[in-house]
Amino acid sequence: MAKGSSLHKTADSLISWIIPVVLVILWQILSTLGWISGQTLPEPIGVIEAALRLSESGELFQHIGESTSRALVGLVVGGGIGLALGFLNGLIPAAEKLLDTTVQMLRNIPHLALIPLAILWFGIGEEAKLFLVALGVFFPLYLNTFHGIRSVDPGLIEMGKVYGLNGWPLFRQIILPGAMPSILVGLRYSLGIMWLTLIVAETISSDSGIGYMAMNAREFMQMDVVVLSIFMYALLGKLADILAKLLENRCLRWRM
Amino acid sequence: MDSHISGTRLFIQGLQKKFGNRLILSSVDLDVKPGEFIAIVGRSGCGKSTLLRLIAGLETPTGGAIIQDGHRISGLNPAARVMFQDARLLPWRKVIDNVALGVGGAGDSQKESAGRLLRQVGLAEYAQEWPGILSGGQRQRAALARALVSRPRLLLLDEPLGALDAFTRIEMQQLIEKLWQEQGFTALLVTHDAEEAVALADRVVLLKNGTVDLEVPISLPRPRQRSSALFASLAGKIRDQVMDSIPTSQKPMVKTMSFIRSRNG
Repeated sequence: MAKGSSLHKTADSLISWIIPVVLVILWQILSTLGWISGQTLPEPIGVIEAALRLSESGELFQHIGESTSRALVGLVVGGGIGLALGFLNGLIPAAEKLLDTTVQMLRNIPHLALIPLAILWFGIGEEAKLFLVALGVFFPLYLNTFHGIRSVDPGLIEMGKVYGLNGWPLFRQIILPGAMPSILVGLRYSLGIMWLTLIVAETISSDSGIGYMAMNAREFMQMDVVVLSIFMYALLGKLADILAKLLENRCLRWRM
Repeated sequence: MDSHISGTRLFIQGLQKKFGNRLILSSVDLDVKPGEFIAIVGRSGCGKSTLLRLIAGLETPTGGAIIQDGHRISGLNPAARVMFQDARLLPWRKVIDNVALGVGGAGDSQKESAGRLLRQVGLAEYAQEWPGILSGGQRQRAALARALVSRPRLLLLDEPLGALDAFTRIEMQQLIEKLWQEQGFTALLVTHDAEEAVALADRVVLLKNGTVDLEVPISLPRPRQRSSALFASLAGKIRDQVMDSIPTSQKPMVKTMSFIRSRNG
């Protein structure tokens, strides 16, 4: 029985890969036949070769490392502030009154509109990209944390009080787990915005990272490297999503 | 292990509660003996749940006082545990950890008491499950275990069986009665079910117009036979009294209060 279900699971996860694999094979065939010109798209094998070439020189990993660390630092800074502010405004009505209107106003400005300003303030160094990523991931985490705390069943909080919980134990045992589903939704949104912001920021102004690698390759008409960069973003995005899902499975076991 | 604890004694004097300009309880006087089982009946909106919440310390009175064992209650009542209409189990904690919350923790000794209570309410095999898979009746049994694991001296039951089907309800009533007899706590049960009141209570209290309108001692021997004529007639009388307590303009029948008084008092 267990063996059957694990086999079933493997088959299940393989199904979702059928379409991507078929598309790549089709792409290779069409390229080989010359139906897609090398000017429009390089053939998949060319992209793989570029990946191998850049891996050997270490360039690829260096760029991936740069981009990932930017993304993560931005996430920690912006997400951390969003989380903290969400808790603050969710738990203390006076703080919400003071801060929420301001946050809602700022939220309506697309954060990418601040790129020129960010470049003027910080130049094209790390700070500008960190600023943009942090700003981008701040809002989903703030909003969902705030909403999560506000939607914790008041009956459970009252029950906790009858059983003598208040302050930190009440927060840790009832409010935080109650808000967790919503916070994790916020995290997944934030991860999407994190990569999106980074791609734009790195493409516009950078001297390292995957976006820089793509723009640099464009100058030299290296189509294979351009496509490789796009693939890297797709892979990293998917990886972040998988990690978020694992975290969800771990924190929300009770919902299965 | 089954050491009998003494239930609390409650003196309620001139208790009043207003929400804004609305007077919910005008003046409630009630004297509850240690270990007594009181059922509070009344039409919805008569303030019976508010009375319970005041005794639990979840609300503050606007007048009068609740004296528990000689001390006036202010703030949360530490001697009391409450069972609500919904079980209010934490969905992110295993059943046994929910029960252990009643003794304030997840240590070994707490888990041991929690496990013992789960056995008493017949949920031992669900200890390691999430509450989400339990049926309504099982959830209330877990909530009962959580309320009683700390051996409270006062148990407040706010229509805890209202949402259950008839068979499960009777089963739960028997369980509550059994644990009450074993532990000896004082119990206050708010209910809209006259039969439930007669099945469990030593005394039924009718709330009307924000005050105690009638008290009916029930002296039937336990366990009570629901099929007996006396049981049925007592439940019927109480039901009539509750029905009777709607505003004068809508009164459907003549008062039967004097009859009950002469019969029991």
